[in-house]
Amino acid sequence: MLKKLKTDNRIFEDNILKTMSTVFKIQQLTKFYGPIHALNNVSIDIPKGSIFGLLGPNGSGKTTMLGIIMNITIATSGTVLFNDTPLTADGRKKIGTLLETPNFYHYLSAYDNLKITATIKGIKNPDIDGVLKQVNLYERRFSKFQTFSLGMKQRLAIATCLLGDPEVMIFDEPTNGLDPVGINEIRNLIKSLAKNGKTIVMASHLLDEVEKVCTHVAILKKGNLLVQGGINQIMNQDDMIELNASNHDLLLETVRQIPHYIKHEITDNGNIMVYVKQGTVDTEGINQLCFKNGIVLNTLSLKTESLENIFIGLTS
Amino acid sequence: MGHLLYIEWLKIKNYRTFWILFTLFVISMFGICSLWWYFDVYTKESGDMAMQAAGSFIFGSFRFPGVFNTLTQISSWLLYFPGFIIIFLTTNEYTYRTHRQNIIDGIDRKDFIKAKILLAFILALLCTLIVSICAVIFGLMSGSGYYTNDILISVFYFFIQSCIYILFALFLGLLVRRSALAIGIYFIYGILLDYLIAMTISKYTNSTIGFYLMPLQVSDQLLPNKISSKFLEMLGDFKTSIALIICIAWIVFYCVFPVRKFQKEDL
Repeated sequence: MLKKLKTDNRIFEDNILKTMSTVFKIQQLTKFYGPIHALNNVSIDIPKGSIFGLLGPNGSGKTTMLGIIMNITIATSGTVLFNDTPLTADGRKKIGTLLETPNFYHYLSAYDNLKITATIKGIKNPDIDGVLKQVNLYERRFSKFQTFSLGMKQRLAIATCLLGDPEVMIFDEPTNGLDPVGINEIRNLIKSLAKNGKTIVMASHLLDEVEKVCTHVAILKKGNLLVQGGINQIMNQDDMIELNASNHDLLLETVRQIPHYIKHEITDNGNIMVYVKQGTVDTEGINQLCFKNGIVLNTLSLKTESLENIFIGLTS
Repeated sequence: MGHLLYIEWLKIKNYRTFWILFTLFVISMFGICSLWWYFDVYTKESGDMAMQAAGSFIFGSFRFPGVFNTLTQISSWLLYFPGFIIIFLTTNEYTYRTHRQNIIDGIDRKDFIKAKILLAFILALLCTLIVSICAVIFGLMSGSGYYTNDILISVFYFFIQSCIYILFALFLGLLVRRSALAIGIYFIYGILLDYLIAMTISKYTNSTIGFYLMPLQVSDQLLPNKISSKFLEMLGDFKTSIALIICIAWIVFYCVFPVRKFQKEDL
C-alpha cells in the first residue's frame, strides 16, 4: 500500500514536471579531446524545478558536459540553451556552480573570495555573512583560504553557489572531501534548496543519495547518453519479493500461483526472488497463499530495484 | 571597464607579493637615483674633469630636461618588478584555477583577459608616473633648467617601453602558466636572450634589423643610453620613428594574442 502510494506520488511528480519548461536544453553536444570521444552527440533537457542527477562512471563525460555548460570547456559541436536562449556570461551569473575542486585565491580570506564572486555576478548588497553562516564558516570568515581544511574549502565553494540566491545550481560531486557530518549537512542543504523550488543539477557517485533526492536522472557512459528521464520512468521495474521456507521445493511450485507472477530467481543465499507486475504486490495475500499450501515462510520481504543496480546493469 | 578593474583590485589589494614588488620598484627607483645623483654631485664638487666627463657620459644629466632621459634609462632596468607582478597575478589564476571559477561565475572569457591587459597598462602608467615624479624631484634638487618637448617624448617613450615589458610578462605568464618558470624565462630572456638574438640577426644581415625586430631591444632603443647608441651607430642607421611603430605593433600583438588564445582553449 505504502509502495503504491509512493509510486503514485512519483507518477504525479513526473506528470507535473512534464508540463514544466526546460531550464537547460542541451542539444547534440559533442566533444573530442584529440582522438578521445568525451561526449558523443548528447542531448538532454533539464526541466525547471527538477533535481537532475547526472550519473556515470569515471570518464563518462559528466564533468565535460558541465564544463561545456559553464563555458570552461569548448564543445566540438552542439549547443546549450538556457531558458531557451544560448547561454552567455550573463546567463552564467544566474547559476550557482561548484565544479570539481573549489577554486579560490589562497592568499585571500573567505570573505574576500566571496566578495570577488559577488562582484563578478553583479550582486548588489550581497549577503556574504548570511551564506557563510549557512555553511558554518562565519567564524572563520577572515581566515585565509589556504588555512582551510578540505571540508571547509568545499563548504566555501557551496557558499559561492548560494550567493545571490540563484534559481539554478550545478553541483559536481558536492560532498567530495567532506566528513560524514559535512556530507549530511550538504545533503540536507540540497534537500532544503530543492524544497524551495530551485533547479539543481547534480553529478554524483552517491547513487543512493541521487535516488533519494533526484526527480530526473541521465546516465552517461563513455560519452554516450544511455538513458534519461524521470527517476520513476528509469526505476519503473517490476516488484520483487524475497521468500524462503523450510519446504523449498513446495515453495518453488507455489510462487507461480502468486497473482501477476512474472518470473523467479534463486538468490545467492538460497532465497527465492519473485518478480510480479509493478504496483501489484500483496504481501498479506502471498503469506495466505503459502499458508494454504502448507508452507510456513521464514523470509518474506519486499525488495525494490535500486538505482545502483540499474546503474551497474546499464554501465557494466 | 571600471567593473573589470575593480575585480582585479579586489584580487590584488590584499596580495602581499604585489605590495612587496611594487614597494621594491619604488624604493629601488629612488635609491638608485639617489646614489647616481650623489655621485653626480660628488664628481662635480671634486673638480676632477675626467670624472665629470665620465659621469656625464655614463649617467647623463640630473638637470632639466636631461633628468627625464637619465631617469627613464635607469628605471628601464627596474621594469622587471612590474613584469614579475603581472606574471604572478596571471600564473596565480592558473595555479589556483581561479580563471575557471571567474568564468563559471559569469565573466566573459574576453573580459577576463581584457582585465589583465588593462591592469598591465595601468601598471605601465603607474611606473611612468613614479619615474616622472622622481625626475621632477631630482631635477629640482639639481638646480634650474628649462622645459622642452623632449621631456614629454622621453616620458612617452618610457610608457611605451613599460607597456612592452609588462605585456611581454603577461604573454609569458599566459603561455607558461607556472610562476617560477615564467619568471626565470622572463628574466633570462630580458637580460640576455633578447639581446643575443638581436645581435645574431644583425650580425648575419649586417644591419640593425635585429634590434628592430626583438620586442625588448626595440623598446630599449627608444631611450638609448650613450653606449648602446654608439654601438648601434657602428651597425648602421637606427630610426626611432620606425622603432616606435614596431613597438606599437608588438603591443597590439601582446593584446590580441592572449584574447584569441584564451577564447579558444579549454580552461
